[in-house]
Amino acid sequence: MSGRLRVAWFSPLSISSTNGDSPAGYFTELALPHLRERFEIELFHGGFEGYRDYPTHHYLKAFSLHRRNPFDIFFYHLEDHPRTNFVRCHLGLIPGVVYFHDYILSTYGPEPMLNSPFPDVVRRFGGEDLPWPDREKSYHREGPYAVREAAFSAISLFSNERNLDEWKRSRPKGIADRYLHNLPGSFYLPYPVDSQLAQRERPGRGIKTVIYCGTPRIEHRAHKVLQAIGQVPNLNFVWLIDRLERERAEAMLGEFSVNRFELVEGRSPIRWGQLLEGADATIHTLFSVYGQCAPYLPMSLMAGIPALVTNFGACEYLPDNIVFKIRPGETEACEIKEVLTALASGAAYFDSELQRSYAIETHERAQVADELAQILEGSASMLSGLQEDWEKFEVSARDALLQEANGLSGEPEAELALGDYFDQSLRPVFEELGWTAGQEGLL
Amino acid sequence: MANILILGAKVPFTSGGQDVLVGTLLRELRVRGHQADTVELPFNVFPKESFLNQAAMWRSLDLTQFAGQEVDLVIATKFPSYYAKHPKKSLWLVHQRREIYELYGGRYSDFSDDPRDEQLRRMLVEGDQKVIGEAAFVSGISRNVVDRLYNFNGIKGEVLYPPLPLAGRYRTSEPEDFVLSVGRLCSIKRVDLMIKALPIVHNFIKLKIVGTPDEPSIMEYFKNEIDKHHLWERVEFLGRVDDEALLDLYSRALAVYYAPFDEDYGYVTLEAMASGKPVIAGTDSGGVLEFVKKDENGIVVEPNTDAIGHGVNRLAEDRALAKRLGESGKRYIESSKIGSSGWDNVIGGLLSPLSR
Repeated sequence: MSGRLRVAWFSPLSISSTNGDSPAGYFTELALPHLRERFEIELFHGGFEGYRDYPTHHYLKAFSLHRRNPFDIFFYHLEDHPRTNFVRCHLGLIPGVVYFHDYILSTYGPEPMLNSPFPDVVRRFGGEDLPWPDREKSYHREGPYAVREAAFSAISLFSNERNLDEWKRSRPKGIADRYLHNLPGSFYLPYPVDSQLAQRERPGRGIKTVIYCGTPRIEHRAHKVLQAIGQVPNLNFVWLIDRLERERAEAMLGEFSVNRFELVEGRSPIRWGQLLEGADATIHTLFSVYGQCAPYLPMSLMAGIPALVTNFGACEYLPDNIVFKIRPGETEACEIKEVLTALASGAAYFDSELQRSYAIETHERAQVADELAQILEGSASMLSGLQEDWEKFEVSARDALLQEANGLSGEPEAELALGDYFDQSLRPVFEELGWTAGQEGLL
Repeated sequence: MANILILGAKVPFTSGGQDVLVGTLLRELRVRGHQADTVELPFNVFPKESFLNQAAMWRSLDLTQFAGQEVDLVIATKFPSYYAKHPKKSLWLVHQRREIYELYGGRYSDFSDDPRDEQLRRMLVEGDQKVIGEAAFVSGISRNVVDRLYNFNGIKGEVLYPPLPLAGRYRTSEPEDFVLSVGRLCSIKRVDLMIKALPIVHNFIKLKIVGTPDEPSIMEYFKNEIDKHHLWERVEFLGRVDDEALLDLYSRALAVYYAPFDEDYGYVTLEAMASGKPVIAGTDSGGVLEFVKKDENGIVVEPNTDAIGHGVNRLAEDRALAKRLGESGKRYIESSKIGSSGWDNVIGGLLSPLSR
């Protein structure tokens, strides 16, 4: 025994190109090297590939690994993207700490969980005298919030303050409520960024290259950005897109007569970091309750170059003197154009050092990892109590299942018959296979 | 010569690849002089809580001797038949309960986060590991099936592709203006995608569907789609057909649509290839893709109606392409062991515990 806490870490991993733009994959990539010194970490994802030199497993194997060598903490990364459907599945099986990269969800999630009986499960686990959920009963998701996931979250972490506020406003009864006592159940945990990212000498006045990584969809305001860019002469516009967005992006560039542009395929934090090397300014517009600009915006802040953001959502929480805030709406394109024009001519005031010091204070990777470590260590005792009770709850679920299995037919007479048959023929098999009520070891 | 029992789980009133596999294996064992028979118990998918009992029933059977004769070997096929106990158990795995493995968390699984469902999943996974682990010989009907077993249960197995059931009888005729779909009618086979693709397919192309419904309300769903898109004249349900009729349909089809989600193996693929017809498969069709190669012997498209419709149109517009792909598939079948010659290899593997 190393004495270190054992953490089961559920996240998409930056292995395949499909996960290249995963904020959770990015967080994992940056934070793990720091955390592995303090924790014994095993990774779980939706595939079978390995990840660097970490023990890596398919998420459906977690229960058997947990039984062999119990984890102290189950740590989940949740995004508003189907690639974290496996996370949404598993956190309903074993509760834990959830890092909400998104809290307002546009995706519906894994289909079998759409009819999740979680409200009744949470109440039953909380000690209410309720029967097990009726298998025929229908449950409906209410609103766009990750309510089910929040209910199974023992400690909730948020990558932006706006989501944390939404959670405080909307949170349902949770599985850990009676364990928290005076402990805080939620934290703001910003994205980590390498403090050496894109550090280079830049000319003192005037910007030439502007980079942007929004989608061509309306919520990232590409139509406003391009309208503005098309009116600012001599700017190089670099747009980081997904491969599938090329056709739409090209059409929009034509529509707004943007001539000096470069389309770069393969949106990912790694690619963004490379583009920051040659960039003089960045644009991070987003006007939607869904999605966020992270980790791209924190990376831009760390690079110390002007960043234009929409004065909405998580960006509203940023200090006014480190970013250029653009009001969404009628004047949006005009404001973007004015800011870019002023930056291009050197007329706009921008304090690169101030921006970088904010980024270092908020996003420096070792510090973020340390904050997470402290949260996990500080919650370990509470999580241990919760897990112990959850395992008892699992045993009671198994008992209920076995009762169902042993009395499946509806007719009382048939049940009697099955009872005899079960006792004489099937019970020995159930015992042989360990399918018995309350048996220690079979969770 | 040995006394051999083939263990099959049978869903009454339906037929599919499993029935073909058991039937052809029985025939081939007998041809080779073995005393072979089948043992089948009915299997019910609903309710899932009954899986434990159904597995335990197999486990409780004494299969060591009948009528004074020792059973030398049992060959299990799919869940829950492999729960049977025997000192010499071979496994030719068709599939496990897929909804607790690769289908978990998706639209084809009904296991939710109800803690009872999770306990059921854990019991079945651990049960599978124990009872499959005790088999003297482990194999699966495709690379896909064998890989799943290794990935989820850590058990290695050999790939033994089931040879074609009507090997030597497939033939090729001039293609007519229809696409053929063969298989059980259930959501995972995704016949609905082909039906819904028809509105963008040239009007003269029709769809003939062979197979019987295997899921509640699936026919109502299909008929609703047909009504919605006014496809009454273009879609024909043929139900179950006999071997000769099936061979004839394969031989006259322009192409064969077979794009199920993550299929185990798929006889249909190989039957189409043996009949010299291109196969239209999905990029996520699993075992089908062990044989269908994009633009070599078939069309492999994203599993959506647009891509499928355009794929069919390519073949309808370019008959030379359809012919080239079909001929390529036929050459593959002729040069592989998927024909009747493959049985020696399959039976050699399955009976290997007898020589230990």
